[in-house]
Amino acid sequence: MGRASGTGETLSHPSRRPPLLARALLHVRLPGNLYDVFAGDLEERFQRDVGSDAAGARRAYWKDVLSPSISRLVRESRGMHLPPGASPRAGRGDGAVSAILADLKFAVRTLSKAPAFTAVAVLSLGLGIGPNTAIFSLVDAILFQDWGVDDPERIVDIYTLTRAGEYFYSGYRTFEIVEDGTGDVFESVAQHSLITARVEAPSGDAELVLGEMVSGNYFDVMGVRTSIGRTFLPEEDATEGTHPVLVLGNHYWQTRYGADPSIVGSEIRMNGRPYTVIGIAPETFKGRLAPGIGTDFWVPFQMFPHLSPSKMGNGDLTITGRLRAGVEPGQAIAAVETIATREAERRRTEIENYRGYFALVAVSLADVKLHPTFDGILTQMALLLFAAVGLVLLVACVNLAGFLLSRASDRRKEMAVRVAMGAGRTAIVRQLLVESLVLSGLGAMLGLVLGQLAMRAIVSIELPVPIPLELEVGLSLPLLLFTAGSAIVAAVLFGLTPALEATRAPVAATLRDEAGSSGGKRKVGARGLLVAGQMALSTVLLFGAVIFVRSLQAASDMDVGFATREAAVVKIETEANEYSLDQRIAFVEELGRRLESHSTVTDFGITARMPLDLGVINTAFDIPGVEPPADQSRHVLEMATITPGYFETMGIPILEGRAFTDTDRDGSAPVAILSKAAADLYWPGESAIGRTLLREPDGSDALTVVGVAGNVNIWSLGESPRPYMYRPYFQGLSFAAFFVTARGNAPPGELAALIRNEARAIDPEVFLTEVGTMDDHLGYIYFLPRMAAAMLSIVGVLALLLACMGLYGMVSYGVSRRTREMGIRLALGAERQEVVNMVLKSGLVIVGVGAAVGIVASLGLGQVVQRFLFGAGALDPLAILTAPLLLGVVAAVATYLPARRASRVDPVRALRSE
Amino acid sequence: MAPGIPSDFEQQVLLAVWRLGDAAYGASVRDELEARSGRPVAQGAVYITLVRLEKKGLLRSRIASPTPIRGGKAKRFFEILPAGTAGVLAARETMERLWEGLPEPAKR
Repeated sequence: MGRASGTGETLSHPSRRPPLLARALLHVRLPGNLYDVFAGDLEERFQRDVGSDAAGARRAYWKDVLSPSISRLVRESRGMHLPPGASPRAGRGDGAVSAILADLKFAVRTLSKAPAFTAVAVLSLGLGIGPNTAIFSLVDAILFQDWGVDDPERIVDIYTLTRAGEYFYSGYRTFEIVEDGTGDVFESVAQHSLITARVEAPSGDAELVLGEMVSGNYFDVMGVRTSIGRTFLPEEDATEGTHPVLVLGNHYWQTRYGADPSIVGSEIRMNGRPYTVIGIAPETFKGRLAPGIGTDFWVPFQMFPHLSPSKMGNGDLTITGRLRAGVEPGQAIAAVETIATREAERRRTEIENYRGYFALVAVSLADVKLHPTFDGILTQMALLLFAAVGLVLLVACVNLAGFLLSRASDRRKEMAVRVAMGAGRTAIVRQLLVESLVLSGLGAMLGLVLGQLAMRAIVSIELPVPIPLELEVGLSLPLLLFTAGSAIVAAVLFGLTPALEATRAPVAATLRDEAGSSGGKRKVGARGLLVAGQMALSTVLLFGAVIFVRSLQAASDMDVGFATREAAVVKIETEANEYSLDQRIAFVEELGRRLESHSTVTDFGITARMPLDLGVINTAFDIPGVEPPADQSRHVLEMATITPGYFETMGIPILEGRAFTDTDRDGSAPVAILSKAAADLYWPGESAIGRTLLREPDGSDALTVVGVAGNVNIWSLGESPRPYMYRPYFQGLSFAAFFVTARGNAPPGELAALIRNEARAIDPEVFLTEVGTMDDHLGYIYFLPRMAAAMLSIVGVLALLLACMGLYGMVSYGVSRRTREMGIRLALGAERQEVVNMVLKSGLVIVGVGAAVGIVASLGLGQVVQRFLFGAGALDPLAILTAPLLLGVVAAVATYLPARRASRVDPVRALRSE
Repeated sequence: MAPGIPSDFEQQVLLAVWRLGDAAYGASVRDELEARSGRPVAQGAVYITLVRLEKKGLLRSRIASPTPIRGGKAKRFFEILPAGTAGVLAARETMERLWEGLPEPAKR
């Protein structure tokens, strides 16, 4: 017993107080008169036990607070009178915290008394905040991901600058030039490039994995240490093809080898040759391909003769240097430019007739989000998405403001009573703000859940390219802060006005019911503004959604120059099979024979390049009598090498001359077919047939143009006609990776399976990286616009839903507030229809003004997003009119129904309606 | 007569309050119950019973000034009323009548 009193412990130490959250919870659950004594009892026991077992004391406190007996206590004590001597809020000593807790408790109780209002408001905010958190996680994962390197601001990437100003990869020679010339600014310069390789997994299955081929100092330059094992030694990248060692990516190691540390030191078979695993990269470093794309392995560059024989000549390296101590990125960037100028000058003076172009550009890794060429457009897209979801949140906030405003008018009497009883205006505003904070807090939680669900759906979307996506989109601190921030802004910004509004009403008049029904001019003004704003915002959002969907539609209907339907596309890569040229040709010919023997295959063709496959093969030549462009020493064209059936299968027309035949092969006269654009470029107004292209300037290797083919889209949908060249696959141009396309009287999926089976029957080891239909092949080119359209459609539908909810609520509420006025008019002899029309008219004027503002804003938005659109113009009338019409109907219904109802009631009752 | 016989737990709480005299309040009643019965009791359950017994007129309470050990919160002291004493006595008598003639369990 007597233990309770007076041990005089110090109570300032935070761990000496019962858990704050538990206390707050208790505060919310118990009415004030009970809280004080009850919490005192609990605290006393807590203080008794905390000295000996702090954790146990806290646990016991929680147990008491969560005990079901508390609920019964609340029920039983209802209506209980306070014993003498009790003063409900006196002597607590918790000051402001206690006042806010009291407000919180009151808010929870008030809101739970209006469940419908609370549900609609929370749902509205949740739907508004959800897409924001989803887009935030996505943008955070893609654009703000850490590279996982040490001191990114000390790392500088060097790119070859193209004439068009794109940041491009460099050749090996450029790497050497940079390495030689930058010793005073860089500690060390590394190079790295993407490769794919076939790995035989422990299960025996082979799979294609993505890796980087890197110089021996790569990990030092990045400042990355392995989590197990070691990185490359200098001698491992010193001589060609002598050190088959690799470092595994952490994610790949976890998923394929079950995070088994003993894998370090053992061998993995890659492209048919054993490689020793020397280390595992740390989880934080995913390589330098791109954030979100994991690197499965790293190998020394000098292994290129085995893994990628063409690597030395490919010119697809990225050069990266680490700054010396005390050197600023700016100095290194300037140094690189100097080297480039010197090299360009050297080429001009030393190479006869040099018309090339050489420029380098350096950029600090800290300034790179994904890739300097794409960062601009990606950032713009991210901003666009943010703007879209931001508008949705704004719509939701406007809804909240509308709801709160309506509610505030309903509660004016309550507020007046409170003011009359002596409550300060600050206290009332604070109370109302806490209420909207509770609402927006609940909305934020719902939004977070919805956003996470949406993110999961987005991340599970399969990319149309075989890239391992390692986006980290879980709950993160920035995300939580962002969500909390949006909620607080929503609450304060849109809860404050109604709160201030509510306290402004004249007390005495309100209490006497005189300020009732019509609500005063000001309030109608605020509500009207909200309705118009809502209308304008939704119009803009729906406009955005509709033009993107229309743009996608336009892209699908676009003529790309070849038949896009009903064809099978299979990509076969034989690099890893190490075929000789003869073996490769034998393989392709055997595949052709087998496909011919199937009655279901009517046409088939093989090509080294498919339109819209993002690959490129260039060829350079001279044309007697036709000068190359001013800045080039020779003519250069992109080209594809094809078998005779290709044009037929692809539905590309031969406009002049002939297609290739079986006789166009090694030993016969070298021939070429040009696209219409190329023929028109070189010989405008004349026939191209029979013209000569000199592959060697001395004329020792000349091609004869035998045909002109229709233009096709090579790089992007709807591009302007592109000069292009076709050469026969069997004229010494049999590339190791090629596409087989076929058409026939079976579904394309079946044809694709047939091609796969026949290829495997010839050599079970061949690698098939794409097996599907032309639709699948084109999927990636439609991927971004489809994603954008899908996201914006969802956003648009959400906005529509929210706008309808808010608009209906606000408009119908506004009309019902005029019941009394309508009663008076009816009582004075106005016709019912007349009264309804009057209300309808005043409502629709507001909606019309909003729509007009929205349409003007849409036109502006159209100009901004034009560059993201295919075909469809930003002045699409369907897009502009959809939203105002839809919302106009909603607003009309929301006005008409309550107006009609109000006009039917007995005027006498309407007058008493408050 | 007293308003019916108090329930088992009500009797325990009444006895604890009676025993504690002028030192009976939420925390001390709980301590007393736990010490004598040897099993944990929820503070909420004790409090519900105290409040209910007060409503029934078996106890009465008064608020005393706050103490620092309680985080500056007030104490609510309970005091047993004659009706409360009568209630527990009546319960005891009932039990004793029920026990009458039955063998006493061996006492320690």
